[in-house]
Amino acid sequence: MLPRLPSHRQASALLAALVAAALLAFATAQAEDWSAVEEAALAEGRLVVYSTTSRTVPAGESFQALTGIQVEVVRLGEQDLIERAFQESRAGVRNVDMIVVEDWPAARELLANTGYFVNYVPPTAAERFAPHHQDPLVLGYINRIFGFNTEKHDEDPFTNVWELTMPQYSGRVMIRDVAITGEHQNAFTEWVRRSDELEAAYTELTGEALQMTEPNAGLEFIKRFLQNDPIIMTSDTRIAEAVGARGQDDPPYGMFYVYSKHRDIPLQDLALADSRAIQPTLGYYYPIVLQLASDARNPNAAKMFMEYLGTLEGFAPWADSPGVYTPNPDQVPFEGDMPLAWWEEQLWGYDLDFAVQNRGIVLDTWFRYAQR
Amino acid sequence: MPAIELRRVLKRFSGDSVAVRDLDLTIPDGSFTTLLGPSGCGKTTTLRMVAGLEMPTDGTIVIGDRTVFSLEQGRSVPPSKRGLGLVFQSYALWPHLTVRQNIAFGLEVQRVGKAETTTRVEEVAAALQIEAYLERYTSELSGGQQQRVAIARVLVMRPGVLLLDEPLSNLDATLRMDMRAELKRLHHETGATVVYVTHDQLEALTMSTHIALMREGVLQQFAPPLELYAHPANRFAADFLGNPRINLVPGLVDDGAIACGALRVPVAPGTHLDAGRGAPVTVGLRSEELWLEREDGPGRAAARISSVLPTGADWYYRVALGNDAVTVRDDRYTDLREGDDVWLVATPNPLKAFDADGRSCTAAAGREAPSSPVGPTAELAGEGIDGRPVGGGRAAREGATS
Amino acid sequence: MRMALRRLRLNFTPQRILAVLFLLVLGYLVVVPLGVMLQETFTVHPMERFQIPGSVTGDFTTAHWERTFVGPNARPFFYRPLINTLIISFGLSALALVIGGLLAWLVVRTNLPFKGLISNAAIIPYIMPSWTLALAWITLFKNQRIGGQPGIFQALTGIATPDWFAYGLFPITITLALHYFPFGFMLIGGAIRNIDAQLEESAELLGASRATILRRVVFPLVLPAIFSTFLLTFSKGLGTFGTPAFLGGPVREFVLSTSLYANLIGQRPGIAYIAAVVMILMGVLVLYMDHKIIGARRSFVTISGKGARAGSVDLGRWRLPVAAGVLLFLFSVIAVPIGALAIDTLMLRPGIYRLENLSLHYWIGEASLAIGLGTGEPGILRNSQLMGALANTLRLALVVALVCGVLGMLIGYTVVRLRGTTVSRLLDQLSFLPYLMPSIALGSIFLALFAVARGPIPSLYGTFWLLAIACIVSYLPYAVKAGINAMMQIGPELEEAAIMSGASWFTRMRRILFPVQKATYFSGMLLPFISVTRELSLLILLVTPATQLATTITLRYTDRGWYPYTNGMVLLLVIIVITTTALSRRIMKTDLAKGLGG
Repeated sequence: MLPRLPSHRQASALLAALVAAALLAFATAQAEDWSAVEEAALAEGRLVVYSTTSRTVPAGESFQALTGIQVEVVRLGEQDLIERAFQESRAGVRNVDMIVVEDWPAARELLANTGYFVNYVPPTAAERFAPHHQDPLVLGYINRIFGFNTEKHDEDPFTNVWELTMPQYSGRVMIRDVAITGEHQNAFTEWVRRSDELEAAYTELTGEALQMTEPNAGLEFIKRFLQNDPIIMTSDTRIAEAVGARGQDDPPYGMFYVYSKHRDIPLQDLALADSRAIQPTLGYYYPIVLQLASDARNPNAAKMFMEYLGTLEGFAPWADSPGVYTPNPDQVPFEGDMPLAWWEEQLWGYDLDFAVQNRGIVLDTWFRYAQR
Repeated sequence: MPAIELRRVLKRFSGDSVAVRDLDLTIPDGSFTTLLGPSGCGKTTTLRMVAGLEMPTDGTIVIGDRTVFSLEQGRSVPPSKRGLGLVFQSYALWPHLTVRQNIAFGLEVQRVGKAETTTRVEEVAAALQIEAYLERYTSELSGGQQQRVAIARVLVMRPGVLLLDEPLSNLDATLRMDMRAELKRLHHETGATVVYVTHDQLEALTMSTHIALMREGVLQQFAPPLELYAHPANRFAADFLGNPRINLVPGLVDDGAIACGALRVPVAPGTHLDAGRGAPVTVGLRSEELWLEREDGPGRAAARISSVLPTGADWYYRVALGNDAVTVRDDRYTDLREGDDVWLVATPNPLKAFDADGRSCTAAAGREAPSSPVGPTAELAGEGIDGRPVGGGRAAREGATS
Repeated sequence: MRMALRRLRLNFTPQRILAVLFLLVLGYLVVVPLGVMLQETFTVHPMERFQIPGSVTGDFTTAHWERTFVGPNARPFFYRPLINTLIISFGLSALALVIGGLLAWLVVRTNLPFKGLISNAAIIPYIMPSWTLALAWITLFKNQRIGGQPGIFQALTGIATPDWFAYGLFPITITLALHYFPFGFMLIGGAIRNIDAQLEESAELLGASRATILRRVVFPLVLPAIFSTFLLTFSKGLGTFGTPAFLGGPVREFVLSTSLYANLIGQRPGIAYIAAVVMILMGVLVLYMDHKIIGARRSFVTISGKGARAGSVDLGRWRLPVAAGVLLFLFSVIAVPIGALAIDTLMLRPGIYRLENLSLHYWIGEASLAIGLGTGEPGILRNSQLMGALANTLRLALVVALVCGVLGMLIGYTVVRLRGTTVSRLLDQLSFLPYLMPSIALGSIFLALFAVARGPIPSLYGTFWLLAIACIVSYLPYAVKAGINAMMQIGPELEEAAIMSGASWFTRMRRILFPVQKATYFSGMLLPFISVTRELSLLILLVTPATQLATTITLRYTDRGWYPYTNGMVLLLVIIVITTTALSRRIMKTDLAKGLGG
């Protein structure tokens, strides 16, 4: 049943067999015969993954150590990945077996709706993930938050996002350039969609009704935010470091940078904390999605790797920092972080259909006011 | 050694400029033929078409008994198969190769054996006295030495036809004299047909057996040098050859003479003159065909010396004749000064007169008939320093003055 | 008709055959991508359809052009960034000319000491990636606005730099100029060197003043080099993305390339490619001006080989101070960024510059989750993936350099031999076009072109050759410039003499034309070599796991903020390139200046 493996691989082969046996148990729930998938996967022996997150590399390595299946990971930027997978699929090049992709609204439009990639739910995910994490299959969620310098502020200085449009924050808020960050564009569509909540938040903060020149409160926020002289950066890492560096009289504030940078707080001795009070949302969160190439050469190996990524072991490379959450409910949150369920309550995500239709408007509004 | 025949050769460059127009020319076997003319006359283009580096727009070129180019037959023999060698004006020595490698290159390309290559290279190097520099790079050589290497590189291939494109123009005056003699020697020794391009009439007159004079792509005259000098086919030929330049004086045909104002240019009995009495012509008088007198006399014209130009060997005078100025060579006086009044005497030998279109109207021989084989006159021409014809002019002159 | 055919057959010279061949190949590799790009600007893409009412993906549309040029948003989307772009491009070109020209004059025409050292060092800023200077600028001059540790300047002097000085158009222009001034140095230096001193001397004898000589004699002769420098630096200024985004963002000054990238990321390629087309058009405009003004003149700048070298200007008592100034300048634009990179790779905990924090962990450390950044990655030098990618990069750089060199020589040969014909001009300009195309767009189009077999061309997908072709096309302009330059200096009679000897075309190339200008050809290869080592955006869509490159693999470290690895790799590449340049200078007598057609 197992392919012949070199002798030094005997141990891992044995392990693989054990995992296979264990997984077989879950597979009963599936229409698909999981043991057949496994057998075929081992026969395929390899797979190619395009990934926006570089942690897929260590995950692939541990998967290979476990199963002997070789995982080749190509690390690509969000847009590069979509563009490449799209062009290849269109040309009929069958190189990639599965993708680990961000900016799902765009990816869905170009890759899933075109039929080039399909969703697949492996046994563990089917068993353990809540249904809304299964289609598309989510590897994990990333959250992006507001942060401040703890040397300057003993307590969370934020209460309301509209504060960021007011004089006390003029020239002090850092954000990664929305123009080059697809997920920021998606996130702001939610601010458009939930314009009423945003408007209510304004009234709550100021006691006045929001006077708008833009069609809705979401775009109005973008305009006012940009008119309040924010600092546009190109890297989340630099935002976290700038906000958290010690010894500053007037440190900047971070908006929408990835929470996972807080992992470096002890290593770099940063005075950095995230806001848990800012209303109406603490930031936003978005999924890293797994998709199977519809004409994959190694579909079974890809399925098996997807299964592995749904396990705590497979997710381990992401679990070593805060701000990344597997839908697997067995995961214990990173020290000081909260579980996914908590964040889902506190953060806005975004509506896929609404996002894909409106992010152009968000980008346009951003462009219109971003230029000084 | 082969003759070279060009038949109705036309070369048109892009933009419709015609470099060579319907050239018919037969370069005699074993001759030293110079293509002469001012820059832009098409002489180098002609040479390059013979070499095969330039493709004629139309016409036929035959070398020996082989048609090397014919548009009609759609044939163009590659340069290296035409059995000729070309020495470039700039020498075109390959700077990254030594002298030996430069000379041996062609033999190597033709897969001549190593031993034979060495022998032939050394032979030709010895003949050109460059054995000492064989291992040097060409940039380390003087201009004259580079010239010899360029010639050696061609001669080592033992071509039947040797093409030389202004080879002496980059040399200084003394070296040029030496190389002229050297080239003549080579012509004799190899017996090759030499086609030589130059704009220097002196070079053409001293070295060639034949000169093809060209102007704006059109062949003006093809003749041995002395014939060309004595019987220019048109004003341009008369004007282009000779140093100092020929004096061109307007006149009217009269009985037994041409009247150029007061100056009467005698028409020797038996001279064929293609113009009737009273017809306006231009008389060509070379400086040695004029001389000065202190007194008036029949046929003499009053003139005034505007400058005295002694060269050491000869005395030249610039003389004002009416509205014209003419150059006179006369070695008999040393006391004439600027502003002196003199009388001018004309003794044409032979008479050169041109009609309104510039065509010669005195031509008898040599004007139309192109080829005459290598002859003693040509040899003689080689001996002269500046191509002055040696003959009766001087004697007649002595007689007249005494 | 039959005559015409015969004439045609007789005219089958190698240069004509090559011309046809190159026109076909370049047509496919350059014109088709351009066409694709243009077509995209008239097409509705999936995500664009929501903003174009009633449209379906794939429809023809002029909406992209309308909204870019005339819509209510044209000003913020297009004209403002365009103005910024032009300010940067003109500014950087002018500065590159002034710095490069001044250095060139000092080295070529004065008795400045340390000339060898200076002319070697003056090329290095181009060898380093342009963002190293941007990074160094921020490290030095940043103020409180972008938070974090204060800039070094402020830390030392206590003076806070004004925002306009620390961020935005000013530092963008300065840092790009510091990156590109070597172009000016090389080109103008070459031109000054080639001026026959007799020209100046005769002018002097005629009683012309120094200023008059400069204006009337030297300037016209150097003008072609000035234009070349302008053309090369200006078009780079149009397309650069990294530095403007990094330095411009903090004060929200954006350029045209931002529009290109943002719309690509926003999945609006139709609008994005308009920015690309505009960049190309502006480059073509400069190219056209160059041909119009300089075209005929360029020919007489070729080296005469004769004439005495001009007497050098005696700097007198300023000799040493000037040399010190120049060296200090070069030191700061070279050593500071390199040093900053190097130090960052040695700090166990980034940003904490203390002696006890010094470590070689990121170079030679074992994989560890506990030390330093706790990356779990082995140090660079023992990281087999990094080293493998580095080897790929070098292999690619070598192959591209070689092929570019050969193609550059052949195209140069064809262009020069057919000089004055339309074909020659076409070939010359066609081979320069890739220089003007944004590489991010090129990469995507090459993927589309070569992913599947088309006619006689097999699918090159995932092969090393796809990477190579993309790079070759991209860097061909350098090699062709070198090739044309080399051929201009070889009189046709050198080849004709070989023809007369019966040497075949191949023999002539191999034994005469190549060896005679060897140094120039190798110089023409050096620039592609350098450029490949740091190429990312062109290749990111084309690499596969088997063809990972140093730059693409480094991404995964950059992502996670593991800059010691990123910086270490950049440092390694810079060291390799500097070594290669120095070696080739010594062995092949290459001169980068020749590689640019100086």
